[in-house]
Amino acid sequence: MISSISEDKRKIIILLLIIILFCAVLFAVISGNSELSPKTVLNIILYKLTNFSFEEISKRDMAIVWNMRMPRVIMAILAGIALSTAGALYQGCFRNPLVEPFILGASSGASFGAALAIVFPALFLPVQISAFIFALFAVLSSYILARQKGEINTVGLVLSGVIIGSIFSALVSIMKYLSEDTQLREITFWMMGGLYHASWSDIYVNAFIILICFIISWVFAWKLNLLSIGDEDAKTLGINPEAYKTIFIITATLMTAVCVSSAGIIAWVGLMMPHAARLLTGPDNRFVIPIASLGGAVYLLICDTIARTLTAGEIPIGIITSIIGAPFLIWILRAKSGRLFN
Amino acid sequence: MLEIKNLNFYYGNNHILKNVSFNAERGSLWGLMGPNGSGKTTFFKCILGLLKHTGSQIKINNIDFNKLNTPKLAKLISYVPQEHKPPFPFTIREIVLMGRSPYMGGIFGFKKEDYKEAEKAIDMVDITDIADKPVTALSGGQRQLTLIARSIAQNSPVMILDEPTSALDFNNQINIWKILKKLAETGKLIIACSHDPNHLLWFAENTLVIKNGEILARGKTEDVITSSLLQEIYGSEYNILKTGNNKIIQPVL
Repeated sequence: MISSISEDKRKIIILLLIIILFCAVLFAVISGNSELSPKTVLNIILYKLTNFSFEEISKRDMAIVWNMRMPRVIMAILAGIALSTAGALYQGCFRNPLVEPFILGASSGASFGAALAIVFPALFLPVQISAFIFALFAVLSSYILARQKGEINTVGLVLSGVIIGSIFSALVSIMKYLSEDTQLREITFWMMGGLYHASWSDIYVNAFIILICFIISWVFAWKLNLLSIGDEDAKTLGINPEAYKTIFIITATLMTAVCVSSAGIIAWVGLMMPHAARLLTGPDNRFVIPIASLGGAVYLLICDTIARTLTAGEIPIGIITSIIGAPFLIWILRAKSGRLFN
Repeated sequence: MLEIKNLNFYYGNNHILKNVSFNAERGSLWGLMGPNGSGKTTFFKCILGLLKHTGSQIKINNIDFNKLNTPKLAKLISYVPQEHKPPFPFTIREIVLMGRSPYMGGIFGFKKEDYKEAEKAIDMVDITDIADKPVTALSGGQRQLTLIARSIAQNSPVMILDEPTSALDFNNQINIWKILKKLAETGKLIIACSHDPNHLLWFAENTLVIKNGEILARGKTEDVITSSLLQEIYGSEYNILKTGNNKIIQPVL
């Protein structure tokens, strides 16, 4: 049997992850098809942050580093935080360690929204906004469907998520059927996820929503612990389970919807990172949430760097996260299940 | 201290609790007994506000429960549910610390005192040596002790326990009743149900008997638990024997 680890050790893990994330950022900004020396890259970042530069910077290098690579790097970090935190929140609320952020239909809803905007560009909003709206709409539908007499039954919620998800998947198929070849290609690529659309203006919106949601989740992390034991336990320990379940589901859904609308469907991260964090620190969500977020950020950053540098073209990031993620999960299930769940 | 007036609870069309009224004072240990399905757990859940009941009034220290919010209620009354396995492997220390939740504030809002109270509770039920183990890897009895420790850490004047000894070995059953008796002597009101009427005879000062959602008897345990009462609620014959200062129930074989 294993014993718990001290809070000091947990803080050291967080600190180490921050250092690793910092190194991963440098590595990601330096890697790429146009060969730029680390010195040039660092100089550009320094210049942008402090307006100080120790050598001449060409406009081309500036554009590559600051307008192409940097937004992707930051978007990867934000998506990692969003999916990992949402995964931990949903797993705690549903008391089920195998739940992932798309459980309530956010991904199929977003796919339908994106497909709609791709097939009927004149009629609908831009792809990203349409995806966001339909992601929220899908989750809201699951939620309303599962709510009875003012209470949410978690099994019912998972079931209604499956139903709503499959309805939207069918609608996506209709869109695919109606689409022309180039549109079909665009829909398919969108659904495999990718950060190549990332721009500074997206990042401001994403960062604002994701960081606020992250802080809310972290502040209430202990309440999530209580909720993950059971509704009756939570209530007799002084929290209103319905109210907190609603807060957590709204927070997780907002993060997932923002992330999926600008990065497409990135599989595995939201399921895998909370598990990895529990393996490192135990199930206390006050530590699971920050550690899973940092881990998710590092993981997506590495996957995205592989996605854009491995071949001359671009590999959708969803493929890479799945290829690396699936073996990890198999390993967890076979070797470490006793440490993570029943 | 605890006043319950006309408690009725319906489950669909089934009238589960029928006009239950009950008063109890601080500093006493009440045993609750009744056959399976008599409404014991429902009675507890209504008191705790886990089940909605209408038209009845529950007061604690003259404060109406309906006027208290969830955190305030949790400081007044704590609950030891029937033993269950949580989906995540929290350690005993973490579960017991959860009992301090009504007193916390902020993210890392536990004070030194909260950790001390949790440690004290762990020590009281004598699980210190396994306190760092995940509860998912423990036996049902050890989990039950953990939940009792959590309730002790919650430090509420009223404690309600639903079959606190059901998964424990004989010695631990007796130990838990001793602890409950000690807690009652410190001024708490403790209500615990048990399927073993011997435990109530040995430890509970007062006993409440429920059958079919109605109160059948209440009062001093030695007056309440008689062979005629046992015959009435269980339908079989029992003798109550006297041994020294104690009584023991024996089935007529």
